[in-house]
Amino acid sequence: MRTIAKHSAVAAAAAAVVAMTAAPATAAEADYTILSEGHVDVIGIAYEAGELELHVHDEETDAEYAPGEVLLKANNEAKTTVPAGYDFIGAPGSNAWILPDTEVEGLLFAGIGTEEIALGDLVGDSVTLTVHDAVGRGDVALYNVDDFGNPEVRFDSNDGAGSWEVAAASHGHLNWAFTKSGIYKLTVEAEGVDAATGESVSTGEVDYWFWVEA
Amino acid sequence: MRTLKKTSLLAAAIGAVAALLFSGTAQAATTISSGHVDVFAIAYDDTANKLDLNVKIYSTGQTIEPADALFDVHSGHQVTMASATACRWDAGANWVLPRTEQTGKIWAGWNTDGLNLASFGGNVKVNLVSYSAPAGGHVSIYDSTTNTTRLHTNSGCGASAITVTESHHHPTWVFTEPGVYTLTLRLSGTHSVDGAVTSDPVTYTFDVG
Repeated sequence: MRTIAKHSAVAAAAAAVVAMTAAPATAAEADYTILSEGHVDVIGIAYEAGELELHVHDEETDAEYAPGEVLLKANNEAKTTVPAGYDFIGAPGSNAWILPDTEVEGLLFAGIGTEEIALGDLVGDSVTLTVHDAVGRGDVALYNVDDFGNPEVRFDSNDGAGSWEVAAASHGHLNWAFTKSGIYKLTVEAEGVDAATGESVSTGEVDYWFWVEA
Repeated sequence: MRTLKKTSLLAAAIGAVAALLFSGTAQAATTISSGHVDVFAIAYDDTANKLDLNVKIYSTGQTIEPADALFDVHSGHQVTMASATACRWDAGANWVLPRTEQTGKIWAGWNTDGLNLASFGGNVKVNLVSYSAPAGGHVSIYDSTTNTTRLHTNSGCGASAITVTESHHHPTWVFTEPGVYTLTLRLSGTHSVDGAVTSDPVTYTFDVG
């Protein structure tokens, strides 16, 4: 059942993309915007009026979107090969599309922003970010790299859900690796504890859509 | 002779820094010890037909001359490595400017906001003209994600110039010994209309440890 649901979701997204691409004249009526380059806080987390919320913030245009309103595109220029020592992405030398954690001309520079969580509002000034699942033709890995070349894997679609802590009022970037072209759905959730009430707050599971260009 | 020269250079550098710090004039050096700074803020002046190398400090929005900046690579940057890696770091203590922003440390990058890279065939070069370092000290600037050496003071590492292709970038910087380092750098590029252009040589000072 799970597999069927996944495939139909992917098919629906693929169809939507085809429809959008084929009918540019009606782009104004399109349900979502394609973001394919520049600095975008893909996982923007806000805590306002007791609501923890996920959104996408395009730093280039200062536009803000609900995650379901955007298709995040890894341009073909992101296509590379898996470096040695990064086996969690795939076999070294095999194809991978990587959106890097540093700004590269012509690629989406996909970040995480918690600037809209005021210090003191959440216990520990921290949220737990979880990527529950990634569905698509290939595998997905989200990771950081330290100064000495050691990767720190945050999410590996082969290993199930991945969670990590993100400080409130902070900003950071991830490397986003995909092993095949096509459409992917990532299911993301942020959770925290309200410092004043002690109640757990959550964004719920929110879907993000990526398009990896062949 | 070589050691003597280094020592005197070092003494001269310390003297120069001290003079800047204590001169009390309007030209006092700006000490940079943490936060986002583009060490190489690269610009092109098409009237003068020259490239220009400055320092951009994000916390204050200032752009200053390299000669007016003192980079304080304090003990918060010290990292102990179990073993040496060629053209990267030594075994034991090293001082590291991280590639991602970390509280209390200098986040040192570069940008080409002051020019159109396409007019320069997509890149300009930051050339190492000369350097001074404490005995045994070297500076390595590299990208850990791609294992690429961008600049190294040891000519044996084959990276005496950074080919800058990015509009904005943050590599990792490693200093292998404590002490005062100076890097004298000159920009060069080929303008599509005006041909070969360079900057004046400028000197950066890093006080490490």
